[in-house]
Amino acid sequence: MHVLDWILVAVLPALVIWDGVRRGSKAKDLEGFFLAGRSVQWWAIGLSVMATQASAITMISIAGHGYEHGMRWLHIYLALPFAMVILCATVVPWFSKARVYTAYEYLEHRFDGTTRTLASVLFLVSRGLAVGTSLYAPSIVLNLVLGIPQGVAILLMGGLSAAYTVFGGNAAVIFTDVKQMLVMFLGIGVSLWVVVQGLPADVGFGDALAIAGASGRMEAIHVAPDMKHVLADRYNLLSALLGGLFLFLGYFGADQSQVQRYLAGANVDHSRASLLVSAFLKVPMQFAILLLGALIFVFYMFQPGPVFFRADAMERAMATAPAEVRSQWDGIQQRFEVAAAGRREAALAFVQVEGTDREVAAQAQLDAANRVVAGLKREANVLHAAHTGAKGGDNDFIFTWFFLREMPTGLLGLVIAAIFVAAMSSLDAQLNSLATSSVMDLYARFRPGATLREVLVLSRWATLFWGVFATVSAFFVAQLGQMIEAVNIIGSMFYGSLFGVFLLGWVCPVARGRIGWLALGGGFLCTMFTHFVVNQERVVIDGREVPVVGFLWYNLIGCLGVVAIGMVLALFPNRLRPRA
Amino acid sequence: MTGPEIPASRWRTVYWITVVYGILTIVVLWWFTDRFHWPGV
Repeated sequence: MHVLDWILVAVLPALVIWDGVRRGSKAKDLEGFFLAGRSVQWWAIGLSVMATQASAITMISIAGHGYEHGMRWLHIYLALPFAMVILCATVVPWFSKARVYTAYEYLEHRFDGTTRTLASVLFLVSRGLAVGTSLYAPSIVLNLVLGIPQGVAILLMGGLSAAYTVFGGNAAVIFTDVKQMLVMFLGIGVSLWVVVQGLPADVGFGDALAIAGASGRMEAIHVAPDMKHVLADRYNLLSALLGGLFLFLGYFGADQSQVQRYLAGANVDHSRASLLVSAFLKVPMQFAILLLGALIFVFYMFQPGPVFFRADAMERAMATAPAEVRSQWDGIQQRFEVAAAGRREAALAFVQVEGTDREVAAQAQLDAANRVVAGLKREANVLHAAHTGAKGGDNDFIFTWFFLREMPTGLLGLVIAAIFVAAMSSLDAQLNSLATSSVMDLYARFRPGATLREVLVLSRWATLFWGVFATVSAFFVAQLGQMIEAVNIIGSMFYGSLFGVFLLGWVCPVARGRIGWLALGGGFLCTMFTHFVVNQERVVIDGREVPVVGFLWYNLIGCLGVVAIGMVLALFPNRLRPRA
Repeated sequence: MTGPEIPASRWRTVYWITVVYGILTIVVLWWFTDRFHWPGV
């Protein structure tokens, strides 16, 4: 790497952290530490909300997803503008009026203390399970770029994020996030520019889109043909609009890592407007990252690339493998060279006849060539998994492979810096919110006599604790498979129920007291039952065996489960409602 | 410092604009899929 890239990698994150700590160091009380003194402008919170959701996984894993599966991941975000409108009209004013520190504090006012505790515990478990992924993804990059062990990379990133969050609190989180988001936008734009510039002279941007489409990478909207597909196919329009709606209602309305961002708003209007930033920018941003992945797929049709993007690890594994295994690997690579050359010819032929009556035949040839290459990749993946024990294929290594080899001097440093800061911007908000919920929903609730100073000191220790927890759990994340899906599946198991208890409070005024936690627990069990019992059954969708219920539906099941159970329980007022 | 709160009627207008934007996004993506995607791939 050039010295200019090294300077960018070191200086950009350092500047961002320094400014965040400088702004956060003014926090002298709980409101200052947890909520940045409730004085932040909407645009800063809006970018922080986006940065909290957009971790390093967003760039690395989603670009890889775009390469492998095309635009279908975009379905997840289609309902986001609608969810934001619902939240702006409902929970944002509730939280703002109640002057709460955490979303779950509101539940104590509405139901009882046990409901608050249960909701907080569910949040801590769900967020705790996902927090390690924020560190694991950039550790791949550090490992590949610097050659340092992933463990050291995880410790470095976790230590830095925890340090500035401990000292600066929510103000440091928000103002580092603002700059981190801007660096990330720049990184995405630069990557798109580089991949388009790298296409052959006779293949324009429109041709690249046509090739990606002919290779199955341009399906942004998928309408499921029947009910079986609606339920089991992970990404289709109906599951996106219903399941995705409740995913985002839960994530932005009941996940403390997001709620704490907009609680810092100078007033309710700033909190509302901050959520609408995501409503307008999130889908275009995800579209750009997925398009980047799809264009990298086209790029490697014309430029030499590997059959398997963990080729470096494969070479190391093959150095000590038995001779017959090495010859298997060599055979795959040789066949790949022939197949890749055939695919390049097929892609060029397709471009030449696109728009004419010969394009159907050309597309069939390109599709056949793609299938041969995909088959070889599967063989390589099986060989790699068998000899290294590694899981998850090579999706999370595709974007890294691309930018390490294709980015010009200066831009490489910028993209690596963007990935680092994206990792930190997601992790800091999670540490901050985990600490807030641990201290305010659990410790302070059971120690009402605790002094302000005691709680403030404990909050900093809690942030440090969760920093250590995130770092340790990052070592186990590699077992999850493709990270971006794993994170969303874990989230979907919790968010629906968490939002459901807020919805219950709204739609059923007579549901009070212990009905809250009974309904929350019941709704959560509905989701668990779906995941661990119902989804033991599999169906075949597009040649793949998948669970009968796609994970986006977990959000709807959890939410409706809570509301239904709560409404039934509310029919027994004398037993379950608090006595007047 | 933060000024008076924005009236509810103006927020309702903003919400409708956001909803229309969400619907238009889906329409544009549908057109995009129709233009570039090959069914059955």
